[in-house]
Amino acid sequence: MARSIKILVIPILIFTTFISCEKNDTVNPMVRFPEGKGYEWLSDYNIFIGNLADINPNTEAGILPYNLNMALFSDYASKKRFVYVPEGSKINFDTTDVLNFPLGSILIKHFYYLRTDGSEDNIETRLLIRQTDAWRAETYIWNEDQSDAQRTIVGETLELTTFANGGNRTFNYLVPNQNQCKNCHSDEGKLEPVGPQAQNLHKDYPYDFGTANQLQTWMDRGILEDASLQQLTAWPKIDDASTSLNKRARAYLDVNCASCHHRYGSAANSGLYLETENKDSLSVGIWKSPVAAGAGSGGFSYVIHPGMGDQSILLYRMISLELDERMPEIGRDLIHDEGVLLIRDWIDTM
Amino acid sequence: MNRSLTKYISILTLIISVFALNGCSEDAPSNEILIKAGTEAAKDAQTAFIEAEEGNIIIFEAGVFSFTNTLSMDGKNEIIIRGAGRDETILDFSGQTAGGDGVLVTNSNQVRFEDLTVRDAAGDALKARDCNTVSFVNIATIWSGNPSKDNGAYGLYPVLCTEVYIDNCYAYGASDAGIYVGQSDIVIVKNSVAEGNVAGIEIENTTNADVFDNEAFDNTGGILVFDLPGLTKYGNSTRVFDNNVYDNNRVNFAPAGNIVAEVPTGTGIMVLSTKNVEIFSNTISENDFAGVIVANYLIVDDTPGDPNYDPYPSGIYIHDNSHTMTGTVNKPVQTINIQAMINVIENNGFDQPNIVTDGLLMNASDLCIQEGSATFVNVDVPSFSNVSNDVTVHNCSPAGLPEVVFVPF
Repeated sequence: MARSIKILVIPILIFTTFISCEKNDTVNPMVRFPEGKGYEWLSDYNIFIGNLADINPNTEAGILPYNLNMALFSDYASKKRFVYVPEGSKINFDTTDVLNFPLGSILIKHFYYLRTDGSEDNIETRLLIRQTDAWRAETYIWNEDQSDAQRTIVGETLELTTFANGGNRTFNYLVPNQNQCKNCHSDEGKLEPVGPQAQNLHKDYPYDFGTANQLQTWMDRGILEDASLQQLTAWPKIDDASTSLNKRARAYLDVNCASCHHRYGSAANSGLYLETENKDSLSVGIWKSPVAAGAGSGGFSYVIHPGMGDQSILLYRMISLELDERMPEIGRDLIHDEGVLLIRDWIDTM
Repeated sequence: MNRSLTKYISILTLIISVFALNGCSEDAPSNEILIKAGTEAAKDAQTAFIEAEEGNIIIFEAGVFSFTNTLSMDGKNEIIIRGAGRDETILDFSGQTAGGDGVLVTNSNQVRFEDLTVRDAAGDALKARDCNTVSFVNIATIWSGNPSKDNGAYGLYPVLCTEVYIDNCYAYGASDAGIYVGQSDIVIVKNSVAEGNVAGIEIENTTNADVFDNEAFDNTGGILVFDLPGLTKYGNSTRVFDNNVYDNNRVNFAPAGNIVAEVPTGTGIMVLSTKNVEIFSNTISENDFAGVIVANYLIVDDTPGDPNYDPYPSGIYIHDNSHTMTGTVNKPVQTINIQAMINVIENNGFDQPNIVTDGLLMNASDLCIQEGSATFVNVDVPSFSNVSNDVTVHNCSPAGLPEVVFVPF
């Protein structure tokens, strides 16, 4: 009985595969947008075309790649970012916070590591999906044969090895669970994106059609409200020596810490607020005593001890690998050498 | 042939009926989610914590449940997390590789944890942040072995919450506070035991808290009511009464830099900078530095840096406690500042007092003492020039604080 069903099914499968193949050759599919929880497989969204593992954005359907001036450190993972804004919708131009994406938008962040042969080892792909007035976070873990990535709500810990700054480093890579997504992506208890602020997007991107400014491209595509970019100061790159140490350090802390360390974030109870807009020296950490640091104080008295980077709790927690000391609390199992250098310089020269 | 077939069928029937029976016994009410011990338990528990719906009860059966990541819940309403008993259900985090906390619940309303133990978390054991009406009943938070600075900071840790109810809990081994309530409003901590922590029970930057019928012993300090600068709110109105606070002489093992690292070894109850604290009807015995300390944040940090913060304690009313103090203060284990205080007390010919204040008060009447025969010293920080054991300047009797009343979940 069971066998006869199988015999019937196989030709149907072959037939449908054939049809869908033919279809793919002619026109790219529309992006699929989930109504409730996310689809089971990354491929279900039609965000990428062709061989999924190649991460080719479905540009015809409106998937646009982007990157950031100052990026969040994630254990030396490489990242590819994409944005989708449904046709006819526009992002309001705003420089005071992360951009407010319209309903129907999807932000895609893909995490991978380069293998020694130069090929890409896809680890996970995270989606932020703007369904109603709130965002939904979905995470997809790539399978062994890299044919697709499957939805996870509880995440996973993977032991990985990567080569960075002259050495191999083995570490526990955390694919976050749904709550841990929100731990960082939180504003007054609601899920929000973290990276795409206008100052951080204000840069060129090497598109297929040529290199162009990202914000200008978004405006040209009609997904971002028209605005003059003349007055907009881009956030610096971490190693951009032409920008002041202070600006680089504050941008770094904004991107890497302020998602939790702001007045309405997960770490609001610490009284340490690291968004670039905060001009109050105490809550930026200068001469600030720790509150609930525990062992995270490292035996030091101040979050930032001006002139003494190595005696500042802020730097201590960036260097520590202990679970109850390290910052960020999740998503960092390795030390970000470049970030540590920047922040040490910044505090030392205060 | 026939016989063996019959036998086969009867075995099959048996198997089916066992399955059916099994299914039947596990047929929990539809609002219950059962988590069984085993290799999938951590995943099952985290799934339940994410997918639970209003009114659900997540039940951990008896056993040890091992976690490698924080077990977290966010944005839920009306959830009970229930174990089979404090000694029966152990959530064990000794193998943790990710996440700073053991169990974490955030942005939720009406959540109740009961009848289980959280053991050996990397950081804080059980943290509730931004929650309303959150209860912990018969919960233990412990770190195995001798208390150590390498243990997590807080055991039970509600912060930025309202209507916090802690009843019949147990906290051991925290390198900061065993039971810590921070930046919260409307709080009851009762019938609980804290031992082997730096601070047994600590109420910090919190309003409207009642702490009663607890036992705090073998900590560095038994019960602390603190107010610190630069946080989301300031503390006011805490009653500490009917507690048994004894033998809190454990050498302070908090990592330096933390405010509790400044607590003298041998402290019963300590108020730091908080407004309106009523301490009464406690049994305070054999805490070798002092039974009760009233202090100003300026003695630990003379530049708080927060213009809205008032470090001067006021509305402090200490009355009708019983004091016993027969031991000797352990001077060599104290910080330099505390040693200086002890020297000043000694040099003025006083014994270690039941009640001590640094004297950094705006008005003498900001501290009222009606304590019968209890001894008292004002060490007159920072000059130490007018050290006094005259308690009569604090002879006032303000109205008591109101009871904290709410319906816990």
